[in-house]
Amino acid sequence: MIICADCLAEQYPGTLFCSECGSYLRQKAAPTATLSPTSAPSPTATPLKIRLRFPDQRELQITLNKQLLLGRADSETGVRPDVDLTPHFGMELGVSRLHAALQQGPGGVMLIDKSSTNGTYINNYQLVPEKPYLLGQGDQITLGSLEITVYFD
Amino acid sequence: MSLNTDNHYTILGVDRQATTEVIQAAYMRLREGYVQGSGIDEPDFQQIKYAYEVLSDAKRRAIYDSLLGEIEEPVLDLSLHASRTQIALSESEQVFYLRLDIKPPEQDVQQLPLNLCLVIDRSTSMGGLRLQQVQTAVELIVKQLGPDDLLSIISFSDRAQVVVPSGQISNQQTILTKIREIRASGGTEIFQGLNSGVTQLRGVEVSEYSNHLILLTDGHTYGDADKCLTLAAEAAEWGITFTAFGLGSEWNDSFLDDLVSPSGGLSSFIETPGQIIEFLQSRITSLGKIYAQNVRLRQNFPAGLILKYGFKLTPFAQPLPLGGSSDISLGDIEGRAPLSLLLEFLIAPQAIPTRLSVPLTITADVPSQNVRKQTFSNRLQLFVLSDPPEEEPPAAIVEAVRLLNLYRMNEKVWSELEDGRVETAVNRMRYLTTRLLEAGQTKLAQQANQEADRLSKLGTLSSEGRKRLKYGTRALISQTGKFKFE
Repeated sequence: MIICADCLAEQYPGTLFCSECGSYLRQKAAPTATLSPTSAPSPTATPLKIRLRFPDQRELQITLNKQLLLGRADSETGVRPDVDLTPHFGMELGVSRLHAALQQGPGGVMLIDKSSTNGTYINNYQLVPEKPYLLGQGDQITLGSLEITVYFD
Repeated sequence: MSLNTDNHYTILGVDRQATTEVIQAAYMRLREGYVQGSGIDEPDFQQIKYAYEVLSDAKRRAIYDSLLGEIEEPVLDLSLHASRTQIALSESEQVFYLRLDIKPPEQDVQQLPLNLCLVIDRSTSMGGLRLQQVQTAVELIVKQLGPDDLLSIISFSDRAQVVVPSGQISNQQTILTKIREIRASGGTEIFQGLNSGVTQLRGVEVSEYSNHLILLTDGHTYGDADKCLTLAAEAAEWGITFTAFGLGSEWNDSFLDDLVSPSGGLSSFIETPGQIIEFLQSRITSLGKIYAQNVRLRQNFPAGLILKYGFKLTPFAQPLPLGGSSDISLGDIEGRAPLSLLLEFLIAPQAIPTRLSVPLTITADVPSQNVRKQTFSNRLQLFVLSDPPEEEPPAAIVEAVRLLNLYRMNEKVWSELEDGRVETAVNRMRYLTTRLLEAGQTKLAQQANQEADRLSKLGTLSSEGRKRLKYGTRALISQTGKFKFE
């Protein structure tokens, strides 16, 4: 159940306005219980091998523990993402310095756009910034206009 | 016509006008459900993927549309929007909201002629300005009706009188003279009037007309409420829709709500005699544009899903009578405007990732297309995921739920008063005042504030205040039916 921050009434998850006092619940209320053991993030994520394939058929193998930042290294600002896409024409194709992140989530590998200038896409679907999206085998992700195919080994 | 078979649009759960972005978003949601293993199997997903490939490609979509156009007559289109489509595993019950828009086609259609009966209260309290205004309104209605329309007029007190028997309007002057002869006297026995009105309406072949009874009353009925409700249910079966107008503040609003609910009609509050003309005229105008009638929502929801509350947003705001498993009367589709509903569902606790397919099925008569009791349906795909991404509910749904909640809070105050819980009722009325102010409804907020003061001093609400708040908050909701989805 969720608790209304204004009047402390218990409400069903998903309720938009408190039935007792009419307060909008989405900003103020927080879940009071984790609902299922499976929905809790697993503390000991096993390292995952991921292959990124670029348009020129080159491949890059990376290992994802908890999180990897994708972007473009910049000596001026000292930004060094975990995966530097400069050798894959990141600069020319509009990749931001900190463009996106790969994370291990409970359902699998998640891709998060880090409020990049030119956006992140999964199979041409533009991601809402800062929200995790689940990746599938063979998905095409696009950072700016750099297209990368993702494989899990 | 193959209206109910799946096509690429229904597979993705989008409507025919959906933009490429909407199609992509729908596909991503389904894909997410497939990847997380929630009830979409491989063959299902192949179908989904193929549908997406076709619809996301403008050229292929155009070809597909042209093929669809030939096999599908767009008699009625059902479009769905939910407050969320992905929900979390949960040990408790959860809520989601759904807006269902039942849309008529764009093109002009031929309407059936009207078979209209006005049932007018002539009890003593109707005397003076009230009856005068009714007479003026009838004069205007007579001029408004078409040559094929039928009109009958009943007046009633403790007995009914047929003022104008059912027929086409051949001589306006005769009708007007008879209307002016109505004199106010006696009590209020609504059943007498309704029964006489229904008899007039059934004097013709009802299937060839759009049949409506409009009741105008200013008082409580005496001892015959149950008979009235039984008749209203029978009349709905015969294809007669009821509209009920309460004038002033001395009438029973729940009774009028119950009276119109079997046929999905309108019940409304006319506060001053000066508004009678406006209300009657606008009602007749709407009735003259009816496209579909006898629209009903089937309650064939899967186990674990309960329809908890329902409200009609357009063509007018009206609570839906729930309870039981029978079909819910939604009334008519007026003109080209969609009939929109807001539904609140309760989902039973969910232990494993799964897919809930929620069927939305209606039946309707569309006389111009020679369609009777035809079924139309669409499905909402709801995913139960272990880790659902955050979803922003559509603004159109948030606003509708916000205003509906005001109406429901007001209703709650009444039921709390009936249970003698005055203090709780006062508190809630104070909350309602605040929420009305937040919504920019200064006049209604003032009314709520007055009623809260009165409640805490006297323990009762004023009868005008009750009606102003009930119908005032109801009117707010109907505006949200026009809100579009991005």
